[in-house]
Amino acid sequence: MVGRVEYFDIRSMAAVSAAILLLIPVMTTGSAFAANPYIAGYRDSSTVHSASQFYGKVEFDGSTGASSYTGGVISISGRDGTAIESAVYQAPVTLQTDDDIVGDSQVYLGTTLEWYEQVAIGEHGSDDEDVDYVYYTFYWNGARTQVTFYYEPHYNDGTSSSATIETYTRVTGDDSDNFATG
Amino acid sequence: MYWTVVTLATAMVVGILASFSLTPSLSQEQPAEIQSIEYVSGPDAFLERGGASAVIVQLSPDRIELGRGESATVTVNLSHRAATDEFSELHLVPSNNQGYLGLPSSDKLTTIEERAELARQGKPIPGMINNSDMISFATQEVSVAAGNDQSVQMTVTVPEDLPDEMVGKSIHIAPNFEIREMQKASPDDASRAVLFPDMLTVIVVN
Repeated sequence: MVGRVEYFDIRSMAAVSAAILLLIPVMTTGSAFAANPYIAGYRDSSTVHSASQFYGKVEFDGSTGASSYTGGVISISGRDGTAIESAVYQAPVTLQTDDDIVGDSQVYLGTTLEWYEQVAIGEHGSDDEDVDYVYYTFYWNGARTQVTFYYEPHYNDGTSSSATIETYTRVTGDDSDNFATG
Repeated sequence: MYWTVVTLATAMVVGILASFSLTPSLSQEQPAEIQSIEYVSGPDAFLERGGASAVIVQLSPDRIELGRGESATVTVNLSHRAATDEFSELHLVPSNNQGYLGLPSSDKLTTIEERAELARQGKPIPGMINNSDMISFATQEVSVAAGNDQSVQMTVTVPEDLPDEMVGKSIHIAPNFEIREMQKASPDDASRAVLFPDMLTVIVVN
């Protein structure tokens, strides 16, 4: 099963059509586990399914002058059979305060940041070469030992790029072979 | 870069709940109490959350204009910030994984699934140009001691046969380096040093 998130619009904070997707309006804390505002979408929390791949699209139109980092993120747990694992796979697209946009692929095991890689995506703005929107996806390989993160920014001038691929190899303590979705 | 760690409060992220001893049984999974997860963005957050070393890339210049067949040199500065003494020195080599340029006409030739998988395998993607074909480095290995900077020269060449549809448009390249120490590490130690890239924009003028 493949989960899909489409047309996620930062400006309008539009609805979410996937299992777990979080929108981060503005958060300015360095302390972990503080309460913060959020918007979450969860289609059906009574049943949990498995998915091997997720997609997202983020647009930052109208998100000007951000005083704090802003972004859209797919955050989803691992799954082993019917068991939900403590691993959480996340693919944020972050708009930084300097208008740079980056992809922050990462995996948590419980509360421990286990793996992290950053890719450059481009700059937010209205110039031809600035970022229009970003497609991104992450998925398990056939052997269910690795998760690949892929970001594809599209620019205002109609060009696009494929950011460098980042691949997480499952570590000790992570028994996931799928993602959990509602 | 004051802001470092984004914290998310969520009732929905089931993965984190497992770490709080929720049931693993499918039939018993329920919407959970509001818990918090976080995500990390940037070197400060990474180092605060247990990372050992951050290599921060800065390009000078980071925007150039070139015609087809023309070249320019860009200085790639690599700054090694260390939170621990785990890596007194890091050895960086240009990666084979440098991303791709997508022509305006290329989007409909493949699906995102196909592009992601071809990119993962390092294979050609229809309608896309491998950035590795447009850049070269003056040296094939750079060593950067903790707390220090090193620079390497990168030459960018716009292909002579770049299609007309790219004239007046942009090429985006974020030079990527592999950290040799990470290649040797086991998966469990595979993210102790992380590269934070910068992006070069090339405007194709003719």
